[in-house]
Amino acid sequence: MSLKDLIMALFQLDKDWTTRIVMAMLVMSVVWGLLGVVDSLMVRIQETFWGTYGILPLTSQEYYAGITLHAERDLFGFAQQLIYAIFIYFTIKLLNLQPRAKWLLSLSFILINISMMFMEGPIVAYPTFNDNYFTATSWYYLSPIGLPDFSQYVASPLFFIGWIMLDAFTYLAGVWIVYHYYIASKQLKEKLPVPLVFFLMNTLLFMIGYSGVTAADIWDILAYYHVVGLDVIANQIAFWIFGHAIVYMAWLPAVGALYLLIPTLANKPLFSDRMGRISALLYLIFSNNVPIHHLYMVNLPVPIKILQEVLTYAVVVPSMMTFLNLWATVKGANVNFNVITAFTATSFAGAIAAGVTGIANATIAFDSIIHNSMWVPGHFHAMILLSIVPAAMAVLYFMIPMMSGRQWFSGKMAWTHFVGYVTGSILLIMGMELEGMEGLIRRAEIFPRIPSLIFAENLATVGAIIAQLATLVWFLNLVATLVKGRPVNLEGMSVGSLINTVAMSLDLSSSKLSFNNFKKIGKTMNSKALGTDWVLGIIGSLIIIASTFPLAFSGNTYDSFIWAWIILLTIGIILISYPVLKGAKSL
Amino acid sequence: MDKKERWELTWTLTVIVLFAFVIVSTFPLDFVVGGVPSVISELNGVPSQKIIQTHITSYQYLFKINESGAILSNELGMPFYYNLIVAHPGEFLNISMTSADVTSNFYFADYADKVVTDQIVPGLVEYDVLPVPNITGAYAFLGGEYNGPWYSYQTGLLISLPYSGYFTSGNISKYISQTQIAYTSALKGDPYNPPIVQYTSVSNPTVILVGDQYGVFNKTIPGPTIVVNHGSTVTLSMYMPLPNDERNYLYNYSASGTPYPVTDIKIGVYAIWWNGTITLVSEQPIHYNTYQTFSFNSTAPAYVYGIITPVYYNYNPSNLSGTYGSLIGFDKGYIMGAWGVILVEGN
Repeated sequence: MSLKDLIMALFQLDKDWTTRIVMAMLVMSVVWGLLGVVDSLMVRIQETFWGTYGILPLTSQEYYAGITLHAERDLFGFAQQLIYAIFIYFTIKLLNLQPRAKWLLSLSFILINISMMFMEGPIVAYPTFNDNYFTATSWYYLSPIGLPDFSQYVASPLFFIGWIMLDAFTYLAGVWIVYHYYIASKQLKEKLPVPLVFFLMNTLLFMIGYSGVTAADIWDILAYYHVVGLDVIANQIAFWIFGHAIVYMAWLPAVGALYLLIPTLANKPLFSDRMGRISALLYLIFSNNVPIHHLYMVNLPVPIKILQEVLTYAVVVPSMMTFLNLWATVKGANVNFNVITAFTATSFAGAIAAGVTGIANATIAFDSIIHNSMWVPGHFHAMILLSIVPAAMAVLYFMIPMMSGRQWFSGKMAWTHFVGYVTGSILLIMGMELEGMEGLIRRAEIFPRIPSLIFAENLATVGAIIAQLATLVWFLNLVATLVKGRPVNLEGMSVGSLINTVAMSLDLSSSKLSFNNFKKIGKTMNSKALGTDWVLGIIGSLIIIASTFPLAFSGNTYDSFIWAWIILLTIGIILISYPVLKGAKSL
Repeated sequence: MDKKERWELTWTLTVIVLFAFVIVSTFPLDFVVGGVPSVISELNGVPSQKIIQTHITSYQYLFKINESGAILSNELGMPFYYNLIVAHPGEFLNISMTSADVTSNFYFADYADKVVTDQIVPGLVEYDVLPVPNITGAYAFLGGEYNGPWYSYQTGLLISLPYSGYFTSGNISKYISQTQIAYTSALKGDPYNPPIVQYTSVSNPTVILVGDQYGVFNKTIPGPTIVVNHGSTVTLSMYMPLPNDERNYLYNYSASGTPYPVTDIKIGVYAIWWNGTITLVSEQPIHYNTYQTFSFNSTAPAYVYGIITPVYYNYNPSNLSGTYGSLIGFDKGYIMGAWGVILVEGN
């Protein structure tokens, strides 16, 4: 195969422009994902070597840059880009739309990938190679770290500019998706299926959630150049609007995928269509106005902390509704066990296991014990590795053949991937949780070299290596599939049939399959007017922007400004949530 | 309402009831955690002579601590300590905290007594109350929020010092036992306590502390906690290898970007007295690749050894930071790594 053919196969250059851009996003997300995995491996190596041998192979800068870039690349370059790619693809394919505004999507794609490069910070090639100026701010940046005159450690402004580019991607690509839902809503004669409701809701969630970090980013870069001063706690509250919502931004696509896959694989209708739609609405309302639960250990008014505790619990309610809904759907079904089923089941079980620790963390009294300990990364790595990634893998296992028209190269490699990935991830998370229970703080480069911690660190490292090797097997299988996979004609097939056809090739028992006809959506009328629901959504967006002003003026937060902020933010979110979902025929 | 809807409603209401139960049952605790002023209620009924007013200022990468009341902080004539809190068992630290630069955290992880964790956000004041452990000893506290590349070095010790006399052997045994349990079992004590090395079976011990390529003693921050007998002649020999790479905060850069080992610092032994005053016993300018020896008669209840004042660090290879400024970035700060304490046992 020539290089040209390889590039054609990898980027699917012979397909329509939506597929080409989506494939480019997938390829770049995998590239950033693998680089992020290398970063995480550096972190694990440093911690294991310190614990076992008392040696630090890397400088502190390299170690902390490893943590920072692992998060930036895996969470945004990989996960967010992958999520958007999936949303874009299914929005067009399932809604049977003629895509528009190619320039907007192309620009968004460029922005997110350049943002990843900017976030790295400078690498010095001459006169001496030096990567110690890589950005080392932890996974995000807790203002004012990295800002000149506020912090002894100053990060390159490229890092903050990179964040603003990421914000721009989120809004430009988000507008593109919502715009197509808007077009579709004018043509639909029936309600959107629940998975698509989740995809739309999640896109809105991204756009609402990023409002906080966008405000914080702009404020930080202005403070960087001394254009304005900085109210650190207001900046942090704004950041955490995003910082919490990112958990749901990343997880709810998995939930949407479960709403798609579980009824399909079980060959049964969803237990409660209405409960699925209400869950989506509740997720959107309650995911973006709980930033202060990340700041429980800061001297903020106790009543607003308790309000945040209540609101955080409220976001668990749609999760519990979802678990019942999906469990009741699959109950009694005759399910074939294949790689897609295996990853789907793992995602469902992993969400429950990881979610339980999240509920504990949301409790103020509990947080006063585990705050900043490794328990917290243990929780969110469990959420990512045991629920989000498995759901993404379940989707990719049918989406790649759907896009490329080729069956997976090797079923054995797929199973090796599943077994290795899940085993390794469980070991990694067990190690992290053990560290947390021992009281180890997160990001501890030099920690007590005591038996319990050495065991936990090594367990985590072994798990990470197993999971990473398994992911490498998946990557090789992916490349081989795109290049040498058996051609299969999936054109015109319903999504349910397609999933089951692909699943058959990955079946453990090669048993017969059943089909669920999840057809493309029908269309009837066409109206160009911007309805009241969509106008309310735009007003809600403006109110969210306005809410940042009382936050900025809230001083030490012991005043009425903080209440004005949370009330305005919540009103803005509600105005977007219900009317827009209703306008898009989701409710 | 059909059967399916009843299931949905029952399930959802059950979840809400459970959450309401948790919220109500933990409600009183919400007012005594998280740095809020109402934590002062924990001092109700505590005699004023048992209260130490403590103010902690966090820097990248150390704590500066002022104490008044039952203890008056005084380190070599300065009215504060670096990374040290001195108190007596049964006393209470009435703590306020501020940051001099970035967001930090005060984390005291003694699961046998009380865990304290407070975010120190610039522009805000945090409050907390910390009961001093009843078992005398040296308990670790640390910066629990990442605040820059030398974050791991921001670790201090709370010394629970006898009111008078010396650490009893019974208390030392309890302290060692509790620390050992913390090393192997979760949620049992302070896992961050440095390793404890006893020299109580030797009348005039020679203690050797060897630094590593990272500028710390015996691969622990702070260095090992040494226990010696009251009245013994202690010979303390400290060795620090020549710093020669970027993983060592003692390896610094000149304004023109030339690396050099820091030499304008002192290493020594300092006595901690019952009222909290720290006085000089003996100190020398640092000499690398050489055993620097200090002898003293153990008359104070505790000592602090090593480099006990922060070292200013500035990363600037090839003058990159100087040439490009914030465009490329800076990495500076105040760091302590080679220090520890000696507890004196006696009856």
